[in-house]
Amino acid sequence: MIEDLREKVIAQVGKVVVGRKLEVNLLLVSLLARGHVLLEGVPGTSKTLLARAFSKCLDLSFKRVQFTPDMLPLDIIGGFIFNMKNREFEFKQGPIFTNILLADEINRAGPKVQSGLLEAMQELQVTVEGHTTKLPFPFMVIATQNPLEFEGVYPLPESELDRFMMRITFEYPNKATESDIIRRNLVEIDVNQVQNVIQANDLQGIFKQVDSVRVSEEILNYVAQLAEASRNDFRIGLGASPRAMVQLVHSARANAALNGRDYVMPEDIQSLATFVLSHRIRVDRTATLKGIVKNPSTVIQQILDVVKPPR
Amino acid sequence: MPDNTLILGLVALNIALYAMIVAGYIMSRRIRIFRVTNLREAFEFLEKRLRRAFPDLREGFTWNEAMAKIKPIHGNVDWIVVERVLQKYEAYRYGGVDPGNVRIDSIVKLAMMLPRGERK
Repeated sequence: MIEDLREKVIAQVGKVVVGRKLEVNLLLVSLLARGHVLLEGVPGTSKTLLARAFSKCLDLSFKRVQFTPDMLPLDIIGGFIFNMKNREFEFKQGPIFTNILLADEINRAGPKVQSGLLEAMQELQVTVEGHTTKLPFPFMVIATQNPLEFEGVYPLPESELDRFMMRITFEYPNKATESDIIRRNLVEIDVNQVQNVIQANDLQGIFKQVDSVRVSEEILNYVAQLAEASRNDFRIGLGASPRAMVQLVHSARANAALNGRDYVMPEDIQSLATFVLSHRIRVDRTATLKGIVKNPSTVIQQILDVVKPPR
Repeated sequence: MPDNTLILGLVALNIALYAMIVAGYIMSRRIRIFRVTNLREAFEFLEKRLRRAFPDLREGFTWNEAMAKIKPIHGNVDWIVVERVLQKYEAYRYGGVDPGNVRIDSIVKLAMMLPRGERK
């Protein structure tokens, strides 16, 4: 069942979103690896629609929160409200109590709200005034962010960026895809045409399959070598964290399972490394100023080129 | 003055000796090649030959990447067999699955077909 899940999801999401196969695949890998995703791109590149269609085809509950500068953590997490009937304070759940939370334009909210998400993303629970409540399973935050050069945005702190398993950049579509998008939008796009490809209960079995994927000692050593290389590279100011490497291995397991394998191969690591690591490493300023390196992705690719995987 | 026959004889002996040395060298190389006794050694041999045939191959290359490089230049290889062996090798190498009986010779043959290139 897991082998054809990817194709089914891509086909269903493709009914409403054109030309985003890679992005859908990465979303699925992240979900199965229990990770959160940061979608980055200019407005109008179908980030929100894709997230909605994705949750619909997996039969998962979905809530969308538009982040604004005047937002409070309470608006997402929920809080205690006085019930006049029984004269007691009751916990009112916020929109975070869902399977997939679309945090739209996350970098428009202040740091207080952003950090309010940290516990939820890491521990899958929220605590308000000592009262801890577990979030539904699976729980995934799909956050969208405008590029940092936009006005009125707060850059996400490193600690929060590190909680996102992947950052997926949405580029503008090519000419042919754009024509297709315009053609499809001549009539109103209805997300309801996306059908479930799996029931939420069956998803549990898929998660178990991912958990059973083996990672050999040599693959673990390979990942550790990549981490070390990222920390020793003179072009990188801040290398990959141990959490980053753990998440890389988790995502590789999900990718292996989606390919019908019960073991991780170097290909799994290499194909996902850029998406998992690029938002966590900081390129050295001097190297950037000297024009030695353009962006983190190129450095990661060069590290992958020189570190020998187990063969 | 030495006899002409003796000189010719010595030259012939010399040629024979050199021929034996060259033949011995070639034989030793062939024997080394066929000393590949298991799947792991077959792929190690293929890796060695790949590096010589494609000096531009990156250090971090994967097997599928290497196969994609070989395919366009060797159309007469039974790729179905090679890919099946590769799959079994990967399952064994990364998943600890017993490969069973596989056609190691298909990998050795593939390695032998590669251009010799420069020895590093």
